[in-house]
Amino acid sequence: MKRIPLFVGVLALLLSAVAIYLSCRSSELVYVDVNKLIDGYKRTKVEKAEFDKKVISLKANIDSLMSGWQNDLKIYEKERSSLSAKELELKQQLLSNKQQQINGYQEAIQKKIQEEDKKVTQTVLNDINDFVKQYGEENGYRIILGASGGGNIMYAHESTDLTENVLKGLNAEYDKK
Amino acid sequence: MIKNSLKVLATLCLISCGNEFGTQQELLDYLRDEDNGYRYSKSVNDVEFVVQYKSTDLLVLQEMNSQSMGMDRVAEMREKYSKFMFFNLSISQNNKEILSEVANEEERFKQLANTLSFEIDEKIHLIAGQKDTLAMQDFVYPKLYGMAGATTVMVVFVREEKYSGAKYLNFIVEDLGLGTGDVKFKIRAPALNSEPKLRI
Repeated sequence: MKRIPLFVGVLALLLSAVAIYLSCRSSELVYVDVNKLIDGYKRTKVEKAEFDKKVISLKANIDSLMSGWQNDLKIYEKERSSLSAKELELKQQLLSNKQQQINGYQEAIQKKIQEEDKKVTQTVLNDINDFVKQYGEENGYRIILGASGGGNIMYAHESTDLTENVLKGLNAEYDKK
Repeated sequence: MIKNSLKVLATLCLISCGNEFGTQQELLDYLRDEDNGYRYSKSVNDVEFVVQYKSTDLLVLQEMNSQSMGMDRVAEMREKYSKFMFFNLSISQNNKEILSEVANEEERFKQLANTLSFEIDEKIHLIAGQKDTLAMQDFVYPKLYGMAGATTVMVVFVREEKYSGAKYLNFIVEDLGLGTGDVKFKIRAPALNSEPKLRI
C-alpha cells in the first residue's frame, strides 16, 4: 500500500521527462542540406540517367542534320565551277534555307532540353519537399530549415543536421514505390 | 462473445452515423475540409493544384436530378457508381485557367490544349503500393474558355478490391508543360473506403 505514492511519483516524473523531451524536440531548430538530399536521393540518379539518354538522342538528330548539310556544302564547293549563275544562286538559296531550318531546330531542341532539365529537377524537389514535410509532421518538428549552401544557414551544430536521417527515409520511400 | 459483437456493432453504428449527412451542402463542406482526407492541395512554382474526391452519393444525387426515387433505384445507382472513384483535379495559375496563362504562346497553348483534351490519361496516375497502377476508366475536360478560375478535369478510376487494404494511394500529375515537375498527392485510402453518405 505504501508503494502506491512512490509508484505515482515515479510515473509523474517519467511523464514530465517525456513531456519536456517532446516540447524541446518540437521547438528545436533543425535543418537539412538540400544539395546533399538532391545528390543522395536515388531518384535523382534515375531521372538524370533518363534525361542524359534523351539529350544524347536529341543531339544525335542535330548532328546528323548538320553532317548532311556539310555534305551538301562540300558537293556545292566541288560543283560550283561547273554551274551556271542561275544554278549557283539556286544552290546557295537551298543551302541557306537548310541552314536556317537546322538553326531553328537546334534552338527548339535546346529549349526542349532546358524544359526537360527543369522538369526533372522540379520532380526531385517535389519529392524532397513532400518527404521533409511528412518527416516533420511525423517527428513533431515545428520547423525544418533548408540549407542550400547560399549562406542562409551560417552555422549549425551537427546535432541539428537531419540530412542523413531524412535521406535514409527518402530513399526507403523511393525503394518502396 | 455477444458483448464483443454488440461493441463492434455499436462502433460501426457510431462510425456510419458520423459519416452521414442530411443535405448536399453538409456533405460538400465535409468533403472540402482537407483534414477529412478527401481534398488535397499543393502549390508548385505558382501553379495551384487541388485534388477533390467526389463521393458516390454526390454522383447519385446528380443523376437523380432533383427527382424523388425509390430506395431500390437509389441502391442500384449507389452500386453502379461505387465501382469507380471520381476525382476533380483543378489546376490554376494566378487564379486563372492554365490555358489563359499560355494564351500568348501559340505552340505551348496548342500542346497544352491537346494534352488536356486527349492525353490526360497519360499524365495522371493513381498508384497503389508497389507500383501498381489503377486503371483510369475515363476523364472529362469541360472547356470553359477562360471563364473559370481554374482548369478542372474529372478523372475516373476503377475501384479495385485488392487495394482496399492500402494505406495510401499516390495520385500523380505529370508535368503538363508548366515547369512543375511531377506533383504527387498521398491520398488516404481508408477515407475512400469509408466515404461519407447522404441521407437520400
